Amino acid sequence: MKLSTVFLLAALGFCAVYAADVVDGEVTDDAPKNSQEDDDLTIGASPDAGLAFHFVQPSDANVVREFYTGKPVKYLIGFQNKGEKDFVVKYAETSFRFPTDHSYHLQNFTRGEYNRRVAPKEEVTLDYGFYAHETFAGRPVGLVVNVHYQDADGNVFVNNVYNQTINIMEDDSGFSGETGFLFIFFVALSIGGLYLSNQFLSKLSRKSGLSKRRVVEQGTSSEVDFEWIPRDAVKNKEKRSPATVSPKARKSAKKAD
Amino acid sequence: MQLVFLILSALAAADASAKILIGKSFVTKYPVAQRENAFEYQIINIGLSPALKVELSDLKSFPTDRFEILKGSATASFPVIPANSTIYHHIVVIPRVPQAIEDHDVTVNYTDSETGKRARTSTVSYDKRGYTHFFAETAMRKVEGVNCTHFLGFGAIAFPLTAIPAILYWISKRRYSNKKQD
Repeated sequence: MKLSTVFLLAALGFCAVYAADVVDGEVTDDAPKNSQEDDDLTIGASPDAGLAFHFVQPSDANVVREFYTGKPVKYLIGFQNKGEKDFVVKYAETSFRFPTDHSYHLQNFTRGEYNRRVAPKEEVTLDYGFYAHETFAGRPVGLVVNVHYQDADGNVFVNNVYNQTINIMEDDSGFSGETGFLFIFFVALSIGGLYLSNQFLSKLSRKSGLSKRRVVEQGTSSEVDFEWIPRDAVKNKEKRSPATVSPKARKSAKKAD
Repeated sequence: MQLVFLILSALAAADASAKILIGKSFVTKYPVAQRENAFEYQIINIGLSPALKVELSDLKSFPTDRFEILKGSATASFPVIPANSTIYHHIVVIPRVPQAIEDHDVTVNYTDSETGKRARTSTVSYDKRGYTHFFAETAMRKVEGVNCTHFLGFGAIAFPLTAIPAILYWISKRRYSNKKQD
């Protein structure tokens, strides 16, 4: 085996060993992160907490499950402390999820921070509101609402109060600027098209001589046509010379005599 | 069979109590001092049994030294709220001065018709960050309505653009128009 080949193999092996090192010569491992995410998913609800959910706006959302883009969506969450210790309601998170896979987030709404202490046997109503963006119009999305709270011992709980597929509808109740300007644009296009077609057709007819039926001249009469001469000139001529007969006519009249 | 009926009745009784939710919303477009401001309360019974002797109280939100209550009341009582129904209550107040008012809980006390227990619920809103700001009227005049300065500004822009072409046209017409001479 040649010395150069040995050196090449040694260099490759050296690189292969150090490629895996990231920090301080230790290979990083993603396993702890995955286990932490799994721990979050396993957090459940407390048996001493009773939660309820109700849509306030739109009023028929509890039955129909339809929202309109651009209009506010408001709901109430009831939190009841059935236990003997205090609870602290920390926040509520609302999100849109993919309808067939609720683990895929489409949009996360601003967290509703409450930090409200609920005494034993006490109830609290939490309210929240959001707007559905117009990009979601005409498609179903999954609406997920989770409430995060903890008890007096510091145990954290998560309660899913709403997890349903809803339909986002487009609001066409008011005047749409897009539709209005589209209508004006099409009207202008049609007027312009009519004008251009009229111009084009008139040019074509002029070339082929079909536009007007021209009057064919039959020849001039012996008499002078005074229609095209201004009246003023005719009157002045009559004033100046009484003879209105043309020289040719005078000559022919003389010959006849 | 009797055991099945007992289990079903136990399950039904577990969720048959009244459950009240409170919602409070500001109805008027802008919160302005020395003007009418309307608030709406929604008392919703999402339980399966009626709620009795329902009493609403929101006195802390409208202290009399800062607010004049024009219509309605900060307290209200309802003898019964049926199951799966909503009751609305309105109040119209006039803030005496522009101010920021701290939001206080709206409390509702009610009696569950099934168990006879007295319960108390209150509302928490996140979006106001704890305060409602009532603005001064002078600030709102710039937001809403027309002003003479709007017309003056429009006139200052539109008048030269209209008058200059009109004057040029008149000069041209006067200079080059053919008058009929009889």
